[in-house]
Amino acid sequence: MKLEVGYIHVNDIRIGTEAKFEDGTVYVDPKALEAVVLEDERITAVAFDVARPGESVRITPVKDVIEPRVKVDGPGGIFPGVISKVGTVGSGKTHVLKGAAVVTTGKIVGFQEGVIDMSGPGAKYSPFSETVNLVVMFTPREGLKQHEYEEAIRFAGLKLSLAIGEIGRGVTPDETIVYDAPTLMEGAKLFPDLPRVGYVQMLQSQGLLHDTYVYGVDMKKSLTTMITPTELFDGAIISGNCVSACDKNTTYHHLNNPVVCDLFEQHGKTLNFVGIIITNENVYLADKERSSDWTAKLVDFLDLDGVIVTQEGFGNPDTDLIMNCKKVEATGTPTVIVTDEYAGRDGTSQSLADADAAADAVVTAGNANELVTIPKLDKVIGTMDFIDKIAGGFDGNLQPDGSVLVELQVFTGATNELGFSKLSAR
Amino acid sequence: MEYFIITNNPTVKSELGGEVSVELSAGSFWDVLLAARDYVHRGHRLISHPLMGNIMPGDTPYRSLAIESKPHALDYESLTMIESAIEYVRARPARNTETPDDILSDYRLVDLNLLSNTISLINLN
Repeated sequence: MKLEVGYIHVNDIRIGTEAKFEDGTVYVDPKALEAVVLEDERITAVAFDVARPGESVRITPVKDVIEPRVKVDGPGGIFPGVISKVGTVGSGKTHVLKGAAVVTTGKIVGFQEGVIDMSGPGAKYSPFSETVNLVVMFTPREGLKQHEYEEAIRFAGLKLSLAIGEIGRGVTPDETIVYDAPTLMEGAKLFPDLPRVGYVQMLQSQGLLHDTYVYGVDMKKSLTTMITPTELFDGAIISGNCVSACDKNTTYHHLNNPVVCDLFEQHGKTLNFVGIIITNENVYLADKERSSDWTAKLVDFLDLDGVIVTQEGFGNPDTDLIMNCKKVEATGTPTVIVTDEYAGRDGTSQSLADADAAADAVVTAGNANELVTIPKLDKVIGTMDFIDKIAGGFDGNLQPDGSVLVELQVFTGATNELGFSKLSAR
Repeated sequence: MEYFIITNNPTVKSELGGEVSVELSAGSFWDVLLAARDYVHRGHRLISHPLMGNIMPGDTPYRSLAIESKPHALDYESLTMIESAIEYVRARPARNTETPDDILSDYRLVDLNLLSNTISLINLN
């Protein structure tokens, strides 16, 4: 599959009266966007705000972050099987409003994630301190059950991103990258001497606020399977995950998977990027065995020379990670696993809930328990009411001067296990 | 395969007790894991992972897991898994001394939902 992605550089978002793109600024029409959201009668009101890099603004709690994109040419539409009709994506041409993001907020459960600080010491822990964010605040229908509210916000965020992405349809991109994913045999013929590398992406799949959807299919109901890398760029994978801000993949992360981007950069040069295996993280132990068996079987079948494995989450997914690693290694294929760590505030606890001698090549995305202080900021979009209850918060962490002690776990994307962050040991 | 649930989440008992056997513990998250380990020592296999959910053991007070009803010889995988889970929890003490009722209710809800989803998948096979 060949996908041409046109990146339109966005410097600002302004709430105006007409949807348009002019001189690097996306203008949105709040009335039109409100109409899109209120099509779903589970939501009774919606408000919009803009948070810009460098502003003294904190957004909390955060449900999802989505990048506005539009399918300009080729089959299918963005978020196929969810918002767009089901139909294979990943080829043709797609435009991206690069630098913009839709951030959905709304209390679904009191302990959910996360925090985005647009400035100050907290800003470096979230990539979304560097995007211009259209923040969307929802009011649910009275008495709406949490799982319905989660679904309503999930769909609303995606619909809004599509509506805003549409603004980029007729705009000439500033930068275009062609992602060319050959078929198995094409790739083997083109690059016979390059090592065959595959990417195993583990997707969160445990239930309410812990789900991922692929072409609209709940990943917990899927066997391990394959997907072409360019399909991710058109929103084939979307997030329904919202409990641990630091290491969950927002939909934005799925659209911009850095492992996929980096593998494409090396494709045809130092390696042959053969493809992606997606697998799940179910709680049922037999599913863990079945899914990891299948991952190893596909790795073997594809004759891979090396595999990168990324996980999503912590705790029982650590078991899936180690199972995938062990079983792939047992086929004779070396692995590199990418994970974050929960090593305690002093960094001395065992980081993962599972381990094996085969997992000897690990890239760490950082220690989610690391404690930092973030100052009071001038404006909060959302509420600070749950800052001690969200994952990474704790009793008494809000100080009298308005500053807050938090673990990195609170920040959306801080220790993202695709490596979409700037945390480093350097 | 016959299985039962051990849990300290009363909502699991009230919502699922009619369709699956539920052993309700009055104890803590920790107590549920120790009870599960006792069952493993007696030859029962774990059916679901003891660290269900992406919520820190020090945050949620609720734990539910599925255990095979019929004991066999000691299953070392189950034993390793429950011991690892116990060590994981031991290293992560509670972060809040008191959690408001509405948030406790949210934790019960998510525990119930994740368990229900797991049961649906168990029953499929």
